[in-house]
Amino acid sequence: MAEQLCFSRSLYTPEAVQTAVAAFEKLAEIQVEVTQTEVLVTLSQPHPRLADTLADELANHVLHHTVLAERTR
Amino acid sequence: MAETNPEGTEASPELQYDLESNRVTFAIQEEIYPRDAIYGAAYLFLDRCYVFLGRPEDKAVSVQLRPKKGAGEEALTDLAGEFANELLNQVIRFRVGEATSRIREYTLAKAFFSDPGRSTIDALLAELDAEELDEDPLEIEVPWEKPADG
Repeated sequence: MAEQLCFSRSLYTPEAVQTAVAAFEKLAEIQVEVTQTEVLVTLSQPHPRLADTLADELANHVLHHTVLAERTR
Repeated sequence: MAETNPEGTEASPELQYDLESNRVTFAIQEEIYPRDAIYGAAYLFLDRCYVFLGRPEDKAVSVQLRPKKGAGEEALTDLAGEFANELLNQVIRFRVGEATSRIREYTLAKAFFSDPGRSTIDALLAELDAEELDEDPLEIEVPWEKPADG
C-alpha cells in the first residue's frame, strides 16, 4: 500500500526532499511530485522490515537537510 | 502552555497540543515563535522522535512528534512539555542572537582586521626612532667622548 507525505514548501526545501529521497531510494519505490506549494512524496513497496517507519524516517531526514540548509543560508 | 487532553479540555492558554495514539501535535503561531526557533527545537528531537512539520494555515506551523520507542500518555505529556520548554529556549537564543548580532560582527571584524602583534612592533619601532638610534646605533656610552668639565 502506498504512503504519501506532503511537505509544505514554506517549511521544507525541495532540495532537502530530493537529497533524502536519494538516500532512501533503495529501500522503497519513491515518487516525488513538486507543486507550487508542496512536495508530495509517495512511497510504495517498502522494504518489509522497514515498512512501519520508513516514511517517518524519510521525513526526519528531510527535516535534517532543511535545517542544515537554513543554517548555512 | 495550552494543553488539550484527549477529552478536549483546555488546560492552559498559550500553546495547544493534542494527544493522539502515541503522538503529540502542537499548533504553533509563527508570529510568536519564529520559524528558526521551531526548526531548532524540532531538530533537537530528531534522535528520539519522528518529527513532521505541517502548515495548517498561514503563519501557523503544526509540529507532530512521535517517539521512536513507544510511550504512554504520561510520557507523551512530558515530551510535549519538553518540546515547549525547548521552543522557548530557542526563541530566547534567537532573540539574543538578533540583539547581539552587531556587537558580534564588530568584535569579529576587530579580531580579523586588526593585528595586535603588529601594532606592538610598530610601537616599539616608534619608541626606538624617538631615541634617535641613527646617531648612536649601539647606544653605548663612550667615556672619551664626554665633554670635559669646566
